[in-house]
Amino acid sequence: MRKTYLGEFEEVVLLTVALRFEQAYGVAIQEAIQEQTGRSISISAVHATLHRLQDKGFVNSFMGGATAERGGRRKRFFTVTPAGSRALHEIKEQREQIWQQIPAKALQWKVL
Amino acid sequence: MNKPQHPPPWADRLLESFCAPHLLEEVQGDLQELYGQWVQQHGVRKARWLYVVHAIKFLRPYAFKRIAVNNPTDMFNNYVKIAFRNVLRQKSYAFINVAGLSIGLVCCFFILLWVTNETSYDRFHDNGDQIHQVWRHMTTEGQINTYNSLPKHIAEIMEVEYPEVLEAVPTRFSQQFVLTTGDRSYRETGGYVDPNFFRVFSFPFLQGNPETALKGIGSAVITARTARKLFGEDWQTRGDVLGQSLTIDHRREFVITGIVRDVPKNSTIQFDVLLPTQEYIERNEQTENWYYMVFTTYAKLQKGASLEAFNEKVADLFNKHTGATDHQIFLQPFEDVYLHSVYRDGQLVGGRIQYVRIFSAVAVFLLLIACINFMNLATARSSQRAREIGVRKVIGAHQQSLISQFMTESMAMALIAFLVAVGVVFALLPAFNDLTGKHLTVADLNSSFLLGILGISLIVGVVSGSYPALYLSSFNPVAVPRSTSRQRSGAVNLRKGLVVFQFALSVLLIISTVAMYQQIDYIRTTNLGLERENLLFLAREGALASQYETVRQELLKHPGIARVTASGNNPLTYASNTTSVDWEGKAPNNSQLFHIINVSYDFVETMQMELAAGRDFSRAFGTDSGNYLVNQEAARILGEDVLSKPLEVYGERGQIVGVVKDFIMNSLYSPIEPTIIRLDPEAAGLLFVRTEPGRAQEALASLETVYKRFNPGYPFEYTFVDQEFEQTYRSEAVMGTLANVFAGIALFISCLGLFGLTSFMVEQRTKEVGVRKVLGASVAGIVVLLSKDFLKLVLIGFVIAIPITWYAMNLWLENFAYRIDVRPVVFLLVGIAAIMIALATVSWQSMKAALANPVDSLRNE
Repeated sequence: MRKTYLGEFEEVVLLTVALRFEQAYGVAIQEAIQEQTGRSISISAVHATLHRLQDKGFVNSFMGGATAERGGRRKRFFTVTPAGSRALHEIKEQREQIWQQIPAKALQWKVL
Repeated sequence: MNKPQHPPPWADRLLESFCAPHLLEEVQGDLQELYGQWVQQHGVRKARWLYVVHAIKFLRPYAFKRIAVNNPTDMFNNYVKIAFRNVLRQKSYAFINVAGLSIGLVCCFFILLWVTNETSYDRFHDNGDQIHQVWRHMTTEGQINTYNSLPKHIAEIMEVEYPEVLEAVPTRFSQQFVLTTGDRSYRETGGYVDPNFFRVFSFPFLQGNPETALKGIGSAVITARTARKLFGEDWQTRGDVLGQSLTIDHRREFVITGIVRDVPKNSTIQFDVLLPTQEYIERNEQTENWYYMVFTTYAKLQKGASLEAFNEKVADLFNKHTGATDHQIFLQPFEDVYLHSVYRDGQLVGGRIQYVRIFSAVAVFLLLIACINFMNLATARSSQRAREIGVRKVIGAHQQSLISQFMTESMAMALIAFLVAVGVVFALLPAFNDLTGKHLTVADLNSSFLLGILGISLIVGVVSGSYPALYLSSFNPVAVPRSTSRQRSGAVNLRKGLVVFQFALSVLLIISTVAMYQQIDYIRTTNLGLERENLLFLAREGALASQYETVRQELLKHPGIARVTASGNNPLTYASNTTSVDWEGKAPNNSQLFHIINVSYDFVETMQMELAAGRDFSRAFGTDSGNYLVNQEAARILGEDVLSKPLEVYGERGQIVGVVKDFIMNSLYSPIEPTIIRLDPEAAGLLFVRTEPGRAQEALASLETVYKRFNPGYPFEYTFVDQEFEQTYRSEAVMGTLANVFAGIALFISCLGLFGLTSFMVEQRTKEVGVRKVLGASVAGIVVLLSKDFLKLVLIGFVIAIPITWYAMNLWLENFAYRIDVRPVVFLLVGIAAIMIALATVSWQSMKAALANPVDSLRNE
């Protein structure tokens, strides 16, 4: 069967879920993406992506405890599933494989 | 700590209303948390606003409440099946719907094509956003007139003194050139531009170097089309076209230094030949004069330069260098000029954009009318489907699933209509091109356009399906089976309202177009103060200029030619103008602008103008060469009784020998302007020939014989003044025709809907009609009974349309200096016509019902 496709933004969100291990919920993920990539993303986009990742089986979620700053509402925490982890590793390896084969001259300009 | 103000509760309610329950907690939680941060960062007000924005952003499919449908594909298949069964069972109803929608869509697509084409003008230049056209406001006697003609100095000074200006090009287009290679001559249109023209505009070179192409004074750039004409189809493979020389106007050799791709149709700058401006300047010393204004100037500004700030800086450019006080220079983005180029009193008031707006509105109106048909018919037929809806609901259909069912039906209709419409558009494209003078091809119907119109069709499907879907799906299943024919008054009123709206729109469109048509007809037939029929002109080149008198004598000997004269310009188009006029009693600060026409003898007679006083220039008076004719408007300004009074133009003193009755120059949009006619045969560049009425062919043959004899090196080409006039007002004529067509279609679609509604209503009341007839009602009585409700609606629509139309038409007519009044009789006639058509539509069905044998309708119960 063809593997489930992982989009660029989905990849970023999935990585961030891993980054905020055990503390990954909507607002925290949004902040982390802002910090790491400088992209400002609306919370609804984060939610939409998280739920898409869940549908694809790359993340799991569970409800945490109630907190005061959320008006007594609970957080939904996300964790990366084994499938998600495999997908991320695979992407990374593929990229590195390609990078290693690129002649240095082809990509001599870098971000300063 | 004090709890900060809460987020707007209605935003929460909105979330609760659409968001799936299992997601709601985390969504609201996250928003609440962010809200806390926003309050600290931006304050309460901004935070509340952000909360609402982000809450609305959750309107995404994933977050919506799920409706438990067991198998969406099966249900969808079922909807489609039911939709098609309905279409097949009710063929006439389906036909009315599809026909109405398709006609509406066809019109809408054509209008969209036209609008897309109009808005694409001048949009193909690489740095389009940096290119600007330079304009000049000029205040004369308290009135601000706006021109794009400028002296050559403006461009030079802009480049030197204003760092924001990267390039400035003086150009002079719409010039006629006679191109000669070997023994063949062609007449082509072109212009003079500076070498940096190609750094401003993107006209790609096929051969030659754009940087150097027009640097030399004897260089020329031609288009591929001209190259084909001069050197044959294989010019590109010949490879020796660059460097070939061309003689232009039999006066100078030019070397071809560049060949550019043909100018796109949607470019306002059109040319076949380009020559360096410098060449023109060297031949015309007057160009040194700041008041010699013939150059249309374009400027390329730095990227990101503020136009507003620049316009402030550049405003006094002209005055600063000349000591004048009445000029103001300003720039307008070049891409806007095609659609927005009409200035009145120093304000940009529109231009072609008006037509774009009018027709966009017409497209929306037509679609609305078609949608209304669909809604009305669907809701009117609701009782027929009430049982189906009841049964579906009892079995367990949600309102949502019923909504999707009815939406599927309207979508199916819209899709069928879309396919029909696309077919019709393809088929009618050539006719549309004929009508509008555009050159649209199948290539213009590209995939993005088709996607766009598919989108429009689907929107039409949603709009026309939305109300019926909501209305039908809300039936109470318990009430349905009992009262099949009783409809809720809300729905009935809405339907009536929609019919009123439809007819108000139709009447509005029709009256407007009748008024437009009358106005355009008025323009075309109005007395111009000269006879424009049987009058033609040609350029005075070669012997026509040097041996004018001989040619004239020779022409008059030939059959068909009545009179010959020469004039500096076609009196129906732009002339040159000046403020350099002096007369007795002129106020010292008076800066009145006069139009100048340079003519030779026999001018008044050939033009068939009328003299209000005095005489035409005459060879009998040797002194006439310094004398003047003026029009009545000029006479009014110069003071009454101007005959024999002295007048000084360009510092040349002469006498006024005659006053001609006002004639219309230049444009019917502007009032008659004061005009001075100078006897100056040298400066009169056009030869005018008046032919004998009905002998135009003979006259043309004579003219050609004489022309070929005297001017063998020039192609023989001429223009009839009346054709030129038609051409000038062609866009108005096209608009008039288009508007008429669309208005007719609007009325047709409305009547189609009305027809559907009546036929349905008559069907419902068959039994009632039967009983009435049995009890002795007359046919006429029944027809009146059945028709009067609908006619009332049409009448109300008419009454509503009157004031709106009145207002809109007066607004439009204000554009014209010569205009008709919107007469009440037009309203009355259109009203009567609309009502008659509606009556015919309605009574067709009611007559059928009234004439039917009551036995048939009452037999089965």
